[in-house]
Amino acid sequence: MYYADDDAVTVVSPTLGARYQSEGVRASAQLAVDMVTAASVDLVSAASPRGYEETRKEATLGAGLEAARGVWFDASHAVSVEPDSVTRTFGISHAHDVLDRRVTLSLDYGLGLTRFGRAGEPSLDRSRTQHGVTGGASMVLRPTLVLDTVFGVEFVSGAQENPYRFVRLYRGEAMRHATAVPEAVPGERRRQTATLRLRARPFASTFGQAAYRLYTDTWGLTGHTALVRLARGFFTDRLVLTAELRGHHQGAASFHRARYLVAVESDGPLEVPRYRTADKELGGLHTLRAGAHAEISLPVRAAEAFRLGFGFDLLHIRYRDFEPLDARTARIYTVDLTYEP
Amino acid sequence: MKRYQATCALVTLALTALAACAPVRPWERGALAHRCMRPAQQGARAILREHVVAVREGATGGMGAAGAGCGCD
Repeated sequence: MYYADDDAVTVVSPTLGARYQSEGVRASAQLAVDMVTAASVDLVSAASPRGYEETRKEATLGAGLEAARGVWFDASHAVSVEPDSVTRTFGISHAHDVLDRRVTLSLDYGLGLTRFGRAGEPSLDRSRTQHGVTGGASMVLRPTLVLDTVFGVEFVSGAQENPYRFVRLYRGEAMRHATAVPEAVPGERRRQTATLRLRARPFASTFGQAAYRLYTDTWGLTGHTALVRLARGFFTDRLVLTAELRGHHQGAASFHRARYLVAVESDGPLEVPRYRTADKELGGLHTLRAGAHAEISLPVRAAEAFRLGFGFDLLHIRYRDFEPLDARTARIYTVDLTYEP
Repeated sequence: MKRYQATCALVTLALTALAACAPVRPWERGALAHRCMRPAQQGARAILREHVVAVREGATGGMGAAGAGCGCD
């Protein structure tokens, strides 16, 4: 994957993955590397004046066992390493087909442990813990129509501020820049999501999906996300074309301000707000992503199991109350090769 | 209160759908098992694209899970 936006951020992300499924067992492995070069305007103004270059490496292993017909138990482990943080995640999940395989119930639990600081500054050692539970049901309404419902809750505790980020404080009606202080956000956060998704095959070789997600959290942030996807197979599915549109709208966290004003005591100490952030992702924003993907099965008998894919997405984000940047447009290119015997 | 009402509405809809489930004969499972019927958020390419929006938005999670079984995974 190659990502480039008009705010001086580029990401190159090669990924290698394998999935194996046989009678009663399945396994998967994935290696991913993100090479990021960033000198965006908000980063330069609030965190690192020179921008940065860094590499993130992530390895994921998963395995599953079918304990009885239609009853799966899966476990996974992932490690993600960046110059200033290490995240380990552990997941277990259970899926159970019921009502003559017309309904699949699933329950997932995930634990995430993150230690982070500032690169080259070992004395700054912070940690964060995440517990997440997701429950879902997939229901076959008709042989060509499936409804998924997914409910999730995640508890995050520990340090959640960005250790590089500083927040500007302003004083008086003249909005005179007074000083900049480290970002500070609440140490606890609970996120809730509810998702509805319809998957259908309305006509032969034509598939459609529509999904809606409601997101709320204890920081006062509410989000609405909708996704529509259409796929059509040609030449007995040797060529599959997919088009996708995704929209997202979110309000701001309760403590987010476009500008933090402090009391006007001419020579006295500043009354610094307890929680303050310069994180534009905690402000109000709209996102629109439109994309297309083509997947071709190689027309060689010995290589029929290989599929070559090309994708392009355009991502536009509009920030409602973030002064250094009001919009960002990104192009995302993907090339993928899949082997599925 | 709004959140509670929204959750109740979703649960009611889910229960209604549960009651409306249809039997699927073995020869009809082909459509459900087709790779285009997998949830849009599955697969390495989809995970990368979701990761991009996850770091660009404050509201993350919840679009994955479910979607297994039913002969559709």
